[in-house]
Amino acid sequence: MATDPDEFLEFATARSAQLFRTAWLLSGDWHLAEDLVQTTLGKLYRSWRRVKSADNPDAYARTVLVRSYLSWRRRRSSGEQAYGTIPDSAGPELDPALRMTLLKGLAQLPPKDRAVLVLRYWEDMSVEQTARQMGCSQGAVRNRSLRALEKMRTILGGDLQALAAA
Amino acid sequence: MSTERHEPHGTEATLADAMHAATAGFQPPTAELVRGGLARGRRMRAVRRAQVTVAALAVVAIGGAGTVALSDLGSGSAKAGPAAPPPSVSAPPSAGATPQQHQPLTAEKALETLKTLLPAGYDVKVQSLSNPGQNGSQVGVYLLVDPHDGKPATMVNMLFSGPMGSSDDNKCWTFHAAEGIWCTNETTPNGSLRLEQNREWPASETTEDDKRGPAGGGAKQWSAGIIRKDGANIYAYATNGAVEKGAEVRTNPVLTTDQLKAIVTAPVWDTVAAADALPKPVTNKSGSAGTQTPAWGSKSDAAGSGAAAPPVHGAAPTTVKPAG
Repeated sequence: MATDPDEFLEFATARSAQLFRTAWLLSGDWHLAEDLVQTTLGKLYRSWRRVKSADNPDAYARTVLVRSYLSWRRRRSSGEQAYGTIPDSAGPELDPALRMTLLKGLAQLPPKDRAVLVLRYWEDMSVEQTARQMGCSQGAVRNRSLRALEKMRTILGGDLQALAAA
Repeated sequence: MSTERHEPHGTEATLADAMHAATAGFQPPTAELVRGGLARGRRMRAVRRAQVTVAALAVVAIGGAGTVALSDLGSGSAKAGPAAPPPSVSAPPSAGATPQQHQPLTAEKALETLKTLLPAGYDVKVQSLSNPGQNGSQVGVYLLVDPHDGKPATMVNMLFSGPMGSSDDNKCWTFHAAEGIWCTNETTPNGSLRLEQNREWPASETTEDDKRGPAGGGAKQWSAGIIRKDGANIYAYATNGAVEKGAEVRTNPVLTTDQLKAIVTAPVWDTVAAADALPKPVTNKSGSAGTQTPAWGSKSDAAGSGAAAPPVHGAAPTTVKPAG
């Protein structure tokens, strides 16, 4: 039987890339995303006996990630935004300007609205799943989603099409 | 009404495509994330252990403590009989004597001993047993205990480790907690004791950093922890839930804090769980068993401190299956 660290390492290795991409879209910064994912993995390891017996450890991990992000945002000043560059080692690049456009658009949304968009349109989750992940009602998810999409349309305008086509 | 209106599919699809395009070229630093996550997790576990155990004092000084009979304590259960005599307790060494060498404590031996200390008639189902290498540097016994009172069985767990931390780790908190939540320190003939009634998410002075505030949260968690004078850390706790972080399934845990105190101070542990029979805690580079979890927003610690010191006690990690 595998030990706790073995099982955890297997899970973390398989899931950390996806968690990182989600964290990057949420936080908008490479180093903050690293920090958020490491914090999430740390919390999962701390409670690994419970995590591994969960019906869906992936969903559990995502919930920890999103709630860690929202908790962190609550503790930071509302005006603070950290949108850093992406390391050269990160791999082949999309047009950096387009990428920054998306991040800056997301940055103008309240954290919960941003989390709703990331879960629904990056993680491809339903309204029900998103509500469960965020611990709020489906109505709240719908409202936030509508409001955030409207704002993204206003902020990005034609850039959104350019991003999608990139 | 606007909330019932459906967003045009085009915008949703465009945003989804944009997000995928923006992350498509990424090469996330997977190895660094995993190393850092494991290091933080180990520190978080160490902090949690430090919160429930106490520091070691130095000298072996066993003696004076009589056999503790659980039936004498506060449960009032008609089924509770006298505690079984402690198995194979040798004559206590005098202070300053050369400590005898003891067999390393295993979870199986701890279980066997713990069963003799539970009130008569209580049924035990083993959820898991852990030896060093499986769950950090502790011996752990995780049980569901059924007192046959018509209510569900709930958790009783016991943890053992060698000298660790500082004496301050075992001091009770001092803020004003909600009714029913308390903590008290006692000095016993063979060590320092902490008794506590708390919640699974413990009470805290504030709700900062996701803490639960003065009322705590989750199931009731009643505990007794002792650091004996020989440095052994023994901690027992009982909850009124059947699974970790699960719902409360009975009014109170199946053991009172007095009964838990009787368990952790039972003389039988002086030999079965002597300090030299217990695993030494995993330490980080600074030599401390418990360090603060870094705040979210700090630099990556993938190269990190406290990452992978192996457990000292025992040989290779072992696997123990639940006894059913």
